[in-house]
Amino acid sequence: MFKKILIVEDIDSISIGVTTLLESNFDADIRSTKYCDEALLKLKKAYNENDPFDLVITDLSFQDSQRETKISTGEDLIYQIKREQPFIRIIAYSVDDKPFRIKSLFDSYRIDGFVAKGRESVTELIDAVTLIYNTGEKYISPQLAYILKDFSHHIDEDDIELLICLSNGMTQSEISDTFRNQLKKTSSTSSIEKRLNRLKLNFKANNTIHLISIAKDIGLI
Amino acid sequence: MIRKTYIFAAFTLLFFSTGYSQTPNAGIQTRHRHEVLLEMSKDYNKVLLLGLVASISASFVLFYKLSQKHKKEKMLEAYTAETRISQKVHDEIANEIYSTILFVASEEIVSGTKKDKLISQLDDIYLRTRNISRENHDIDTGSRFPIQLKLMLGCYSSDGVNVLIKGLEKVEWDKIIASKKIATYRVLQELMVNMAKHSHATVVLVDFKEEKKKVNITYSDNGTGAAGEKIIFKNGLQNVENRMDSIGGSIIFDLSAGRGFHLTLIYPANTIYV
Repeated sequence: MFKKILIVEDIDSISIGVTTLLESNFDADIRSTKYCDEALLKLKKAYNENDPFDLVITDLSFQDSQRETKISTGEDLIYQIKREQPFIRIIAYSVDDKPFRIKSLFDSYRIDGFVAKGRESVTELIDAVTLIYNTGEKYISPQLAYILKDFSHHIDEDDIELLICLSNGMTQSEISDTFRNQLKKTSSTSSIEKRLNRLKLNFKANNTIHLISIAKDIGLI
Repeated sequence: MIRKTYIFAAFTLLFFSTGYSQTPNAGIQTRHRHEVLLEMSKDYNKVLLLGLVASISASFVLFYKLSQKHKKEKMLEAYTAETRISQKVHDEIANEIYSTILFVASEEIVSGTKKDKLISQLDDIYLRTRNISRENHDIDTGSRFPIQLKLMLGCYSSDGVNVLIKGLEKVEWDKIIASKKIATYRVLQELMVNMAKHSHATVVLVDFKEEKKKVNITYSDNGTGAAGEKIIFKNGLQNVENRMDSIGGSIIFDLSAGRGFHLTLIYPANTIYV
């Protein structure tokens, strides 16, 4: 298991809660700090003393404190840590669940896990630490998993063309011929079939007639 | 002032000369002088008229520019206020409630079923504050705007409803200024929130186009439709209208369709004036 864990969290009660939780579940040396600057210093010191931390659990936003700070957000801290000691695993632990921010944490800041503070976050945090240690996979709170999967559906001009052809009563092989004549890339009957099946899923339609009816309802054709 | 006296003088001379010209003793010289003065006064009239037209149109342009500037400032102000409050709600309230949940869960202040109830009520409040903070967060208006918009729309997809996006890449977002991006994002967000709450739709389509230097976004769903939605949507709709108005855009409702809710947002893609 991880030997040395650093918790960066500016609200005492949360910090204490997380420390107790980790201590009772893992056999590790757990330290905590309220400030990003101090966190970075602690990491540096441990590294120089040849006893580096191997996991950091950090909040993302920190309230303005009276003292002068160089690093004021979790993102900046994560960036610095990954730059100086890239082997350290990082879990972001935050109230913030904006999809865009979380996605960029994984894509640009290369964090290893994201746990949203919430009712289930205690068990999620244990799961995250275990998963990251054992498999090295990325962890994200289950209710936010959609962010990494990209649930948006896209349709294009060819999809609409296909719907119009269907609504005009053409058979799939006729549509295939039309598409071929228009030099479209996907014109074989099997690719038309595939496209049609994808459209049925996208439109939550049970069959082709249902599909056309929905497409009409939303004014696509 | 100088011009006024000049013209007054010209008129006085004209009056006198007209008087003279009526007398039988009038010579060729006076008639000549009279004509010259008439010409002069005509010229001054022209100058005066031209000046008047110029100053009126100048003040119109100035008024328009100032009112646009004012609009822009107001919108920016509203946006900063929004994000500031969102940040405060997030930092101060959501975090506090969360630590209260932790406290209640770990301490023996209440026990049994009451504890569960208390925690779930706190959790409910916590989730609501988090939603307020999320709905009003700041928006990246740089090159990552389209990805952000896509993610926002995508997160309203669920087991019950699919959000379809068409042509997002057809709009040249790089060339559209920040205030328009913010308005676009917020308006679509408003529509999605309304959709999720009231429409009972299973499919939503957001269709982006850029034609003739205008951004054209069509929203349509297959829900209960305008009759049901419009009334509930009144407040949100006012917001949508205000936002579109502030970027020189407009909304068109399509009431002809039998089912669902359909509207089109149009605004100029170029940056002139706004």
